[in-house]
Amino acid sequence: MSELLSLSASEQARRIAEKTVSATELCDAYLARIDANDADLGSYLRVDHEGARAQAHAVDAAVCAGDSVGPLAGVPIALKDLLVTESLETTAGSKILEGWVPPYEGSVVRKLRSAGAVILGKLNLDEFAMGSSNEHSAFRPCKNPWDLGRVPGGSSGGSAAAVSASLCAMSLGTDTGGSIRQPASFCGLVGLKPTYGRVSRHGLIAYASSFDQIGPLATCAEDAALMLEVIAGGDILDATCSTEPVPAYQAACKRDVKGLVIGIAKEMEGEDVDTAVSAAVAAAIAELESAGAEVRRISLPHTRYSLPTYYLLATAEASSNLARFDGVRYGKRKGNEEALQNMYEKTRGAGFGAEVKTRIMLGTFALRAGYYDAYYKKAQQVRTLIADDFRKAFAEVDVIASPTAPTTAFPFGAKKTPIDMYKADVFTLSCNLAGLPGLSMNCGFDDSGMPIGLQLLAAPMQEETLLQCAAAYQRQTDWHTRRPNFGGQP
Amino acid sequence: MSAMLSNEKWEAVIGLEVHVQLATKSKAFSASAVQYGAAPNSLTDPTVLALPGSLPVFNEEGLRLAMRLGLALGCTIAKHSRFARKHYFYPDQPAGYQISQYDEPICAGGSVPILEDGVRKEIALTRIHLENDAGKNNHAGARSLVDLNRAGVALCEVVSEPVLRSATEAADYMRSLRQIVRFLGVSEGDMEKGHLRCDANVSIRPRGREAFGTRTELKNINSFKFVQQAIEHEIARQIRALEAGETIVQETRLWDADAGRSRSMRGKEEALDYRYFPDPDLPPLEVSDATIEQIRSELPELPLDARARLIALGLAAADAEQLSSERRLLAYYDATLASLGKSNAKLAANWVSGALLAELGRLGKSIGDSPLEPARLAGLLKLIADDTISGKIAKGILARMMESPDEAKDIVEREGLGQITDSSALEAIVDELLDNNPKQVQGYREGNQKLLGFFVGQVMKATGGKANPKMVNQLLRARLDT
Amino acid sequence: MSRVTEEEIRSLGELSRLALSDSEVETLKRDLESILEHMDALAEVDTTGVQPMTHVLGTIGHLRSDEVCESLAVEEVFAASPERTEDCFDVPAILPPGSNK
Ligand SMILES: [Mg+2]
Ligand SMILES: [Zn+2]
Repeated sequence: MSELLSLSASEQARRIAEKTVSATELCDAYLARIDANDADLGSYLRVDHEGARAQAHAVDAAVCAGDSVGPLAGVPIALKDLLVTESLETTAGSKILEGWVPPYEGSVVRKLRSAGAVILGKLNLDEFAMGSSNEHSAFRPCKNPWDLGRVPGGSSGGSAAAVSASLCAMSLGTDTGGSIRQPASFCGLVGLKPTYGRVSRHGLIAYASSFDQIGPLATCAEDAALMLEVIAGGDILDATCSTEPVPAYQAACKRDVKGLVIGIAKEMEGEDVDTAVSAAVAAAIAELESAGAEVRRISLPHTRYSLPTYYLLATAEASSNLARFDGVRYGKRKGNEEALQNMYEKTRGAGFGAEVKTRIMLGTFALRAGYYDAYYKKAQQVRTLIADDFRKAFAEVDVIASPTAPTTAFPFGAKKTPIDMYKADVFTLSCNLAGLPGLSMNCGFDDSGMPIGLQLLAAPMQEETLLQCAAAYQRQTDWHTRRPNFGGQP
Repeated sequence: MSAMLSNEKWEAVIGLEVHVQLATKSKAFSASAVQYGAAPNSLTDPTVLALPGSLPVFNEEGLRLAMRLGLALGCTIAKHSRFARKHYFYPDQPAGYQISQYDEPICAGGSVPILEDGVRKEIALTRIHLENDAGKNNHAGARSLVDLNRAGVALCEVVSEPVLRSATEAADYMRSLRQIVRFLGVSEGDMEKGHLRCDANVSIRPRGREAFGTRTELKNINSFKFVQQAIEHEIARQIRALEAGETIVQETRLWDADAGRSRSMRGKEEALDYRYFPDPDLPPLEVSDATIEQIRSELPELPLDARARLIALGLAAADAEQLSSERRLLAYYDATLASLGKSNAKLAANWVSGALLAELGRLGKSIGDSPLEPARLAGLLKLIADDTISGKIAKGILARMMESPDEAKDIVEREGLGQITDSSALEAIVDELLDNNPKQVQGYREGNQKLLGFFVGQVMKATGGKANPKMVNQLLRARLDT
Repeated sequence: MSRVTEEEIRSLGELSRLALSDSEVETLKRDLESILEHMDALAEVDTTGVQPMTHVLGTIGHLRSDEVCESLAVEEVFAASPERTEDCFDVPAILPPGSNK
């Protein structure tokens, strides 16, 4: 494997800009590695050889002509297949959308293209981002490059596996209840879920609109910062997108953590956490402490209600968001010759997988007349209380540290019931409920050699603080430089 | 049927929900154009088609127009309102839900004025809320063909309290609302194009009873005529049913204009559960006091207020009604009056609603693009008011002023069209006329008073119409009656 | 105690427009029941006087100005449509049975 593929994305961008590496050479190296290895991994649903090469050529031409190029010029990245790409099939990991070629470009993808990024293809995911293991992809499971018998996490499993296996330099995932951070944790990466409204959702196929955010998965904090600088910022096409100026995230990576206050919430520890995970997380916090941070115990009393709150609200929104998949304007239709009601039911019955149906049913239940107050409205009120807990906590501390997930990546088929699976997200959900930015980074390995994730949360719009901590930690440790033994060590 | 309607025993209770298409250029939540009669599915975008990943962003002009209507009707504007999703599967509803306002509409309260025997009456409103329109289904046998051009068009729904008591009152309400939205520029208000669409909730109860009867909802009554017919028909149907000892089923009924009757669409047992919840894609609408006051300050006078003002100026009710029926006509009249002075209000009314509109009609122009400006018309009317010219001469001048930029005064001077008010000159003409027509003089003196008209006509003819008719009359009488 | 009846599952399926096989109904009944059991934990939270959160962080939205952008070309509109008749989406008749129009 080409030595180029072990470079960070930031380093690749530098070398392309100073012409020591060509974008085409880099792009071809990734494409060759994908072609040789992804059949075993299943991280890509679609590889866009032609499109990627064309973009790489364009970058090289611009660099040769001395034109100014964007910050991601020539960097080969890949996108979760939940992001709408013009003229490139987009499926959301679902049969119901198989073959859909969007006639428009999502805002984030547009930003990536104008920053010069080379888009290699679309990455596997749990259908409509509903899952924590990638076992709910309608097409094929994606595996964990650290151990092909284990899941890569979800729902951005393909996005994590591909970066971890050096099948792209960086990727974008989406995070509704932990779907960037948990796979980042399972695959040993930095995964950043931005503040709600920091990044446009236009072109993000909605799972739960008041939770969804697009964010980067990368091997180091600097790369995540580079990507976030490109994708963050206002968008006229998303009414919930903030117009606050985008800070210099890469600059934040250079700061140390002296005087930073790290909170540890007693509600985010507990007996369900693997001992190896607890130990690694404690060690990581100690490391930050030794770098000058201060540690304080805090309480987030309502976070223990995160799971029911999240699953009521997110599924309610999902039941609504997925109503548009009706077989009228796009998607596979069934029962065309029957009555309209049958056409709808058959199209959706055949097009959606089991987990999606479960969540639509649950969400429909929560919104139904007579149940609304007891379920949906109650959950909205608890959401307020959870957000209040964080508001109070961030008056005292700068970041809150916890495990990203209670365990490391689990084997395929390990979670037998929906609730078992949902519990894998227990530490990541509250961040989305409160709209906060959250980051996961590798902080060690368990006895089976599986990566462990440290989660850091910050106050709204404080992504800089998260990146600052992560970068400082990564200067002191080398966990993040380890790559799985997959497809030949890069 | 009318015997039944004037039924002593039963009283009708009617509430209307009128969907008003707001006069925005683009859709409520996205940028494709709003245009009537375009080729099917040629006016769409990712949001209109509810493509995966598309998002709604609300049109600020839609908000402004709804607030303008609300303020004009005396509603309370909510400084904080929000959108909700109303779910139902239907091929003309691309997202599977309509974006509407549910528990926090933009406007509450207010009223629509109507005239009842010339007296103003306020019809109370519950609310006005914002929402988007659905597409259009065309039925073709076992299939339906869907055109989504109209999907996403900005509407506001004006909901009245159940305070209307007859079909006529309902139709009057609808007419008044249409006039007001057109007056305000909130909607083009073109019924043919479906800019106003009405659903009616109708029930009856024994006269004097407080409690409401079971109501039915009539859909698809989209013209004044149908509103009247459908409600009359429904009231009669309900009276017949109750008098026959049947009960009224709560249901939605569709008006079939061709058949002149309604038919049941579906019972409520197939209950729709709309599963309303706040739309997470659309943050609440926040409106400042300053914005509300700004919009309020831009409100024009409403038709019925203008009508009352014109009547106070001495106009006949019919003239006042006509002049206040359309904003540009009223503006024209008011501008004319501003130059001419209020003492000539009636003169101006006659000329604006008479000769001017006739001339514009002849030229195929509307009052908004009249080539004769109010100030120049006032100049012409001044000459009539001070007896410089006769009405007849003025009509001719008006026709010419439509085609030239000249002032009436200049035309009159240049062409010597001023009335002859010099009595000695007129006396000479009268004397000569009487000398030349002894037979007619004798006839008149023998009692044929009609011959006076003959003499007047002859004098006018001799002077090319420029003689002052009043003076001519006086002179003739003085000569003939002695 | 069973709180989600089979009938309820079927009615939710209809409301959600999901054709469900008997075995799916069975699984959904079991799963929804156990999920809802976990949801019950919320009942113990005192939410008296607590505002429901509908938009995170009190999001201030923006409006768009009333400007027209080019529409999608008709060929793009129908590129993915399952059935098209002329320039319309073709679906089974929407009118309830018995209506003659
Ligand atoms: Mg209504
Ligand atoms: Zn409506």
